[in-house]
Amino acid sequence: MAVKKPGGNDSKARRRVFLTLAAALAGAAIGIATFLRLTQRPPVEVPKPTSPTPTTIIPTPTPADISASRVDSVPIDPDDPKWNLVREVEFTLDPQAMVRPFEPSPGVKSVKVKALYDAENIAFRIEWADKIPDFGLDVDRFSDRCAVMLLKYPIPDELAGKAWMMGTPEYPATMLVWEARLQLEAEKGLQDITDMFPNIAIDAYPPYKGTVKEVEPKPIRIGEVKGEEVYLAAFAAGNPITKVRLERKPVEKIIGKGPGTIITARTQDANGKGKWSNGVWSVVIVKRLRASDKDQGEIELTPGNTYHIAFAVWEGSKGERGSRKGVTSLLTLRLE
Amino acid sequence: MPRVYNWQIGREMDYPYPAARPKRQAAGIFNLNKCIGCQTCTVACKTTWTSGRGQEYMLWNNVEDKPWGSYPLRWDVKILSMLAKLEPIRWKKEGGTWVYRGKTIFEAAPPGEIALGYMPESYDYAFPGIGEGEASTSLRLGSHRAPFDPWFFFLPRICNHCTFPSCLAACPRQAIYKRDDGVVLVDQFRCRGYRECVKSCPYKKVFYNPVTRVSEKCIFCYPALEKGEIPRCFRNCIGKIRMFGYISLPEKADPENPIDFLVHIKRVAAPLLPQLGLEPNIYYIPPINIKNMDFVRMMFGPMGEEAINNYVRAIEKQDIEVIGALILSNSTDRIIHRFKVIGGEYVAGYNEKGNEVIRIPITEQVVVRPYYDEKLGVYRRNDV
Repeated sequence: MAVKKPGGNDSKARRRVFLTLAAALAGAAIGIATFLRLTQRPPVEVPKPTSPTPTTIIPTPTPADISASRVDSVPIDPDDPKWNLVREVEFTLDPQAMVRPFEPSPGVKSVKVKALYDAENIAFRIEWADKIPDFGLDVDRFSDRCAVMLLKYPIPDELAGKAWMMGTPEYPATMLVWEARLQLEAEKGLQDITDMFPNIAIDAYPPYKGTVKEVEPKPIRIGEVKGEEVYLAAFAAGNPITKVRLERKPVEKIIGKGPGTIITARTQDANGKGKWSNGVWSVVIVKRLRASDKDQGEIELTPGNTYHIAFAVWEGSKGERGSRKGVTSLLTLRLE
Repeated sequence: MPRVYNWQIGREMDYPYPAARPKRQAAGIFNLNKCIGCQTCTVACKTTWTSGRGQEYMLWNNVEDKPWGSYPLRWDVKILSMLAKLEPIRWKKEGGTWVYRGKTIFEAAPPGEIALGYMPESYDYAFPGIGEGEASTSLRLGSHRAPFDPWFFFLPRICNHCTFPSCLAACPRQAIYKRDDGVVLVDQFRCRGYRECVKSCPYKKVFYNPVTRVSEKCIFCYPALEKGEIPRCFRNCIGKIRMFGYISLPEKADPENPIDFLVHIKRVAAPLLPQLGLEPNIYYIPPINIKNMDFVRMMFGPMGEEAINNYVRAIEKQDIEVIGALILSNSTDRIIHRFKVIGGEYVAGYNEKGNEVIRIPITEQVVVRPYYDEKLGVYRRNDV
């Protein structure tokens, strides 16, 4: 349009064309930068797949974002001195904004991560600042949580963005979610209504009729009286979260093949421990290197290899749960 | 976002999923003029479904006194004020139908959200009987006659099994589903207790169970529906204010279907807060004693005001069909699919197969027993 204008305006027109081009280039650069940030790959050239199965590529990833060092046995306690020997890496957390509903400004801004492995297990120590620990017992209260997501490496560029969102059918994600409420239940037993509301007055629940002593209306713990499942629909339906709670584990092993698809893995062999002190949550998540639920899509880790990894943190006091969370970009983990 | 047609607001609206209406839609009509607030429906539901641990303050069915009562606390005032702050709630009559020109909760969703909503606190559930028996205005001390018209009415509420449920829309893992008969359910196996449904349901009829850690809601007694029986809260209604049935779209209204007849043809019943855009499927015959029409329009839309006029006119004119359909309300445990006035004296209800399941006289039969019984030679006295 500009070049068609009379000669007197040529320089102006040229400037305008130049400015338009510059703006377009800048826009493209921002777009590419954003994409790269989302997928954040190591600065190495990965050869393009030649076969239809891109997983067969042998990458040369150096250096990885997180390197796990080998020890005799991994510590489950976040205060174990073994952790002092490991280099800590800090990653920023951005809002998960691809799936609604989401939290545009997550409460936790960054996580500090360390990793160790032994002959059987890998352990991650995740640390973040949180003024108040949240256990989310009540209807409008949500538990603090953190998660590690592991994926095969490398993932082709066109799938990396998708896989970052809890995997894809071709690249299932193994997620290990630690939850403050599960930690509390692992230590103190299932949190019953009387733990949430100590002054509650209940005559008797139907299955407990006649079992509550008149003088001392002591609440009976879930699982003690036969027939109570009828009155606890999710328990009766075999909701998988119940299993994790009854096994008293603070970490749930989950397999994901995309947003909204996550399932609790059959074998709950992940474990961990979380501690809160002086405004900091320190959480250790331990996973077996070997996959016990390979058929469900669980990842198997072998020393010397590289994997994709990402972290998520949910700040309970900000109402974060499910898709409302802060996430790191897709990083790399190497078992040295 | 897909566009769906919501007949209650007379226009298309945004909804996260494309329209997929069920084969048939379970619905109910509650005649508020007959509700005496006895809470028998509440107890029927409570003892059937929610007597377990974690369900202590959970009422899938509740009856609140309007204007001051609400459960959970101020549920209606909260969502309406949130919506009205964004844009005035306004209706326009276009070509004979009312069209809502404000925003629905889906259209008013803040960035990152699926619907406009709020998270209730556990405190909000602690006062199911608040406002009980309180009239719209208080009497002045010392005056013999109040210079105003105090009013109040009972509002029984269950899940509306909406055509466009916001609980279903908001669930990030599709743990909520709508059955072929229109019943909306929370999958107790899939639910992970994110409570997005609790936040987004404007009627606050999805509840969180802190013991099982998942959300639960009214199931419309689907095991009963599958046997051709009406839900527990309908069946136990003392005042016989509730009618259960299946509703059609307005253009497919069947005059023999009592729900279609009363909602679409005679227009004596209106949905609760239609402006929110969920197409709720419990319809109310608003109370005729409300002196504040703004309140009626707020609760039931402009159709609510029309419903009052249509209802009053039908009763005054002794519209035999309207009266016949109304008195069939939970007159039997069976679901009535069709009804018919027979000879101006009786009304009969038919099940899905067309078999008659109930026949009742339209005028209540009265037998006057004489003071002196000649046959037995005794006097009947009613003064002792």
